[in-house]
Amino acid sequence: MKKIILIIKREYLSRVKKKSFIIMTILGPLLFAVLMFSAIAVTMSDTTEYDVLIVDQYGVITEYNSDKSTIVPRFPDQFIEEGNLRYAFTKDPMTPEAFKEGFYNVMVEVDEISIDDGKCNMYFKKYPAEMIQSKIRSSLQESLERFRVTDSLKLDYEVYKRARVKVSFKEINIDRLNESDKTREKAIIGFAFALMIYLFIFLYGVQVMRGVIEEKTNRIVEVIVSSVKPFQLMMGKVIGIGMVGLTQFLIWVVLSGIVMTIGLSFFASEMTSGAAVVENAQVIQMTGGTDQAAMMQELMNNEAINWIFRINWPLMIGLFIFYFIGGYMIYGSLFAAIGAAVDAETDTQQFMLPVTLPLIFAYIVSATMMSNPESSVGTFFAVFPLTSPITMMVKAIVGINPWMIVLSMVILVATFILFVWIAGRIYRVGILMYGKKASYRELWKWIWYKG
Amino acid sequence: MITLEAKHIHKSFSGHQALKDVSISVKQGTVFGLLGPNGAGKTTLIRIINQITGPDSGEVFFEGKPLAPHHTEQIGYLPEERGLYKKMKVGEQCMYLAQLKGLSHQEAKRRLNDWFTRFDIMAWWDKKVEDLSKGMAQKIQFVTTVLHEPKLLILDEPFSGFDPINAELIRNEMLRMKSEGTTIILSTHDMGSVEELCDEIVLINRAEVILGGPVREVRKQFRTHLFELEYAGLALDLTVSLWTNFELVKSFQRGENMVAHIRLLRDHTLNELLSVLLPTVQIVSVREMIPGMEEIFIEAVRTYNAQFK
Repeated sequence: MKKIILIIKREYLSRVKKKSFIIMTILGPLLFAVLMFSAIAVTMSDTTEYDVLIVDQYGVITEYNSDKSTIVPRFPDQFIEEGNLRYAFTKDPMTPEAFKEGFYNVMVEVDEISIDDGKCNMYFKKYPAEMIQSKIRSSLQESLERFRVTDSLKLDYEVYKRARVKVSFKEINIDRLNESDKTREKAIIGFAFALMIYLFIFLYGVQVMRGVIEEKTNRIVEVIVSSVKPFQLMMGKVIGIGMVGLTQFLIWVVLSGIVMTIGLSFFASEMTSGAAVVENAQVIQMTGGTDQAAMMQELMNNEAINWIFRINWPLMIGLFIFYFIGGYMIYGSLFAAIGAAVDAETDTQQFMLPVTLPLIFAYIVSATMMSNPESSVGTFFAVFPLTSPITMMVKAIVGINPWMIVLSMVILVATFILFVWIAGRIYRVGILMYGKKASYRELWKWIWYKG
Repeated sequence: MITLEAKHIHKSFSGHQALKDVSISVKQGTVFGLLGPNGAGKTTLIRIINQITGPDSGEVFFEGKPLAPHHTEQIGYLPEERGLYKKMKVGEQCMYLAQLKGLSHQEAKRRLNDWFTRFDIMAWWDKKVEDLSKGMAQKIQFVTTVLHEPKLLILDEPFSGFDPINAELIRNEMLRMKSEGTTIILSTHDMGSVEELCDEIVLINRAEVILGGPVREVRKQFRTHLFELEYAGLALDLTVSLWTNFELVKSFQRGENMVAHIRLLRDHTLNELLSVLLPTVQIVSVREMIPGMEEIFIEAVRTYNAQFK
């Protein structure tokens, strides 16, 4: 036991003290945030100029304005030009060839049947961004609707507008009547956890494998196993590296806690000063000055945000730690066995595939669960031990029978004991085998070697 | 006292027999040579003694008691294929390996100080292993092998990779430890060092012990009754005077004198040979040509392998 602690200590310290670890741990989340924002920024800052030509041969939504002597929309409050979107209207149909040669890069044809079926042809030179398309679409839709209401049905458009109802759901889970449910939003957060476990298992599992290969190729392993049992060496390595992962995660939790608190209090003080201008003195006295706690309270009552606070964060972090450890032990020891079975990292391919396949599968299942969080397939994979560490993250946050969690945990622990045993058997033979390329049959034999 | 005794060890790996009824007995304070061609099973035997792997059947005793996990702290092992963590600092690495052998932090530090001072390598303490030369790394490996003052030292080709000066350093350390009572198992192909250092040997070939015993006796066992005679006189006189009881194997000149290699046939003695020669030539020296370990090794293995042809 004393020796396994020595091994854990070496594996842990030699990694945590590395500059790359410190940099990754601090810059990792920042880098991630920057990547996310820049990805969003790239899609937002679409600088393409859209010159849209609306061809309305029959004057359904356009009319001739004699003052300006041009074709203008009949309802000018539609077709609002903003940013990089500009409209032009014509009665004269344009041939596709002429469009191709011409100035406009999008052309929409409205004809008399469009009023009935709402279908219009959209020609484009380059596929327009979804945001642009939806702006054009809604302008056309409103215009056509208005045409039908006023011209065909002879109704007052304002009356019609008042008669219109837009339906939306307030999601309420029968088990939590007093809160509006945010299943989809929660599933996304759960997926973030799942993604993190997936990445951690991969990242640190591969580190275990590299470590084993390093020990094997530089031949220190024979010296070490003359002092400790191969199983101790393997477990020491797996545990030590796993603790590096947990350290990184905990630092991230603390960091994001700090960032969130700073962010929220900043947000709160912004709101406070905003309120101070509008509200009367009494309100300023109540919420203003340095008393941000009240503002925070108000923020927490805000329906759009407060579901975040209702998530059982300690439970999620607890589950994350449990499932990370369980999943990592299974995959980490498998990676250790792979490392022991080969002579060089280039030989790992044939063994990597069957190990990474269930991981990738779990990741895909979790991703699809964002749109259908309560599927029973998801429940199965949240219990199945090779996928549960990832899939359960989504399931647990959305809500699952607690007994399912217990069952999944028990199966996970049983599986990790089995896999650690199997990996240990392969490992102890593999680390002392050189030059021979192991096949699956050989690995099977190694498991049953005596002594 | 017997430090290590292995009795009737059998070991096989998926159909391949690595050790077959191997027994050895290593006395305390001696150097025991473990010889054999590549692939004979030496490394397997060493791994069994180190408890890296277990025998299929047979028993190993350490100082009379069945081998147990805590005995690893009494054994120091320098494998033939040896290495170190490249990215680790020399000092840290030695501390780590010493503690794995059961030394406390303080004790490890104290002993390392002694050794590093003695080998004059204190300046390497904070260097990374990857910055060391092969010879330097070998020295570090030797230090970590003996640091915990094991009762039994197992050295597999300890001199390979060393320059003559460092090899001498290691040789002297071995002899010093031997004189302090350490038992040493030496596995090597260098028969010169076997003759020089070993008290006893076993020769393992094709998983079996085919030869064993004190080096002197093994060599006597392989004597071929061949004598080297240096004399002054005419070679022809010598040849003529030999009867059928003696065979002249070789004759050549060495400096001013002549040398003859003569084998005694049947049960004839050196005295009889000398009495024949005394009247004819002037004898300068005579000595028996006892075969070296190198020849014995080759002879024994060849004879043994011949039976499988």
